Amino acid sequence: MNSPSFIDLTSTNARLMLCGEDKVDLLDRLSTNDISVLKEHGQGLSTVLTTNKGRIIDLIKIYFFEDHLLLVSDMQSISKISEWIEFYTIMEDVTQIDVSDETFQIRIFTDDINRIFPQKYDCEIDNFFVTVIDGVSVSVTRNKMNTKQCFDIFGNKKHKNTIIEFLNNFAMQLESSQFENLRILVGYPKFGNELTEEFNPLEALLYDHISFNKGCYIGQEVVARLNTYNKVQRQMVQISSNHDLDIGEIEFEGQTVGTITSVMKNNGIAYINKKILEKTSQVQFGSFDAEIHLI
Amino acid sequence: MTLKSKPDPLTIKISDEASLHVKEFAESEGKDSADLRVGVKGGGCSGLTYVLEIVTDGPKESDKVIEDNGVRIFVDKKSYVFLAGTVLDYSGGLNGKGFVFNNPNAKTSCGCGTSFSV
Repeated sequence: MNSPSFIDLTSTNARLMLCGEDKVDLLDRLSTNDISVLKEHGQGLSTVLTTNKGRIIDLIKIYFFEDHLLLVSDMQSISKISEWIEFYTIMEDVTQIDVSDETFQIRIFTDDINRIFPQKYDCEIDNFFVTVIDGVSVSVTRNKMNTKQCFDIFGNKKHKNTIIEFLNNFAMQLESSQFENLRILVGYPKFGNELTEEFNPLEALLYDHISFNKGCYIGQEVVARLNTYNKVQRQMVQISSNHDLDIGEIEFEGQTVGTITSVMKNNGIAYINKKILEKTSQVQFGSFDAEIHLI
Repeated sequence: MTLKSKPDPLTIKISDEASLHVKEFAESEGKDSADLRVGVKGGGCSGLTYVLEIVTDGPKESDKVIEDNGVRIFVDKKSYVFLAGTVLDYSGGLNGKGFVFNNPNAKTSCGCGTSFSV
């Protein structure tokens, strides 16, 4: 799928504004990445909220605006995230405003963003720039889903159709099933499937979103120990077969060695025991053979 | 031998030794009073971490003020929920940890003991 495409993620993802002087400090203490590096408008990063057992609450994006942070998560996880932040807001000056209903998010897949936005923008991964499209002011974040480069456009929801009409001139709009297929083909984890409290960020290969030297955050002790002593038991992988797959257990030599967590026809994402990866890439799902691919 | 204060679920106490050290620290910093602000904040490996500082600007309007062993302790109301019953002690010596929160609300603590969960 190399031709430009886009997907409306407005109702798939949630957007939460965090205000107050302690917003950066609080999130830094609650999540895996070094949030303290966010100091200027236009910066952003991905981080993982973890429980005190080092399990995943969700992978979130944080964008630094002049007077607030914008937190982007899955719509299914936002209640938990909001309650989590509220619970740990004790002495801190932090307030939350859920702006999911007033804003939109559209994700564009293209290798040539300058074709859509003619100005030349020098934007690092996870950072964003503000621009105007057909008279509408929007924020455009540079993003990636593993190897797949993408850009997210955020703006006021009343202007969403204007932006979609604009994008229709350059790119094809994806159905949610097409987006899900793309997600699985690039092996990108999703809340509720791969991103759950059953797994930790190392199993989900979220190393790029963990700072191992920033100091304490909730779950840090467990995550650091797993990493230092190489105790990560499972690993997220892609799985394919000549037959349709389904959510369920995968086996090797009659033993359960993993679980398929996402599937689209004969492709899927799974967690598998790391020791098995040293032995084989061939496993079984039910009576069918399946092949494991490293992400 | 220092007498250890017993936990009282309705207050926060400070042991004899801890109160002496609070006064010493206040004196060494040139502060006349020995008021102590205690609290908790989100973070640390286990979820909540302790806050402890000597203050000179008095209590905030919404603070709970507790006096024990000659030390005034200020605690904000939300922190107090997590700290009620705590006895603040002091572990001295080469292997000592300094000020120690003996918090009956803490179900688990991290390895270094500076954070806890409830």
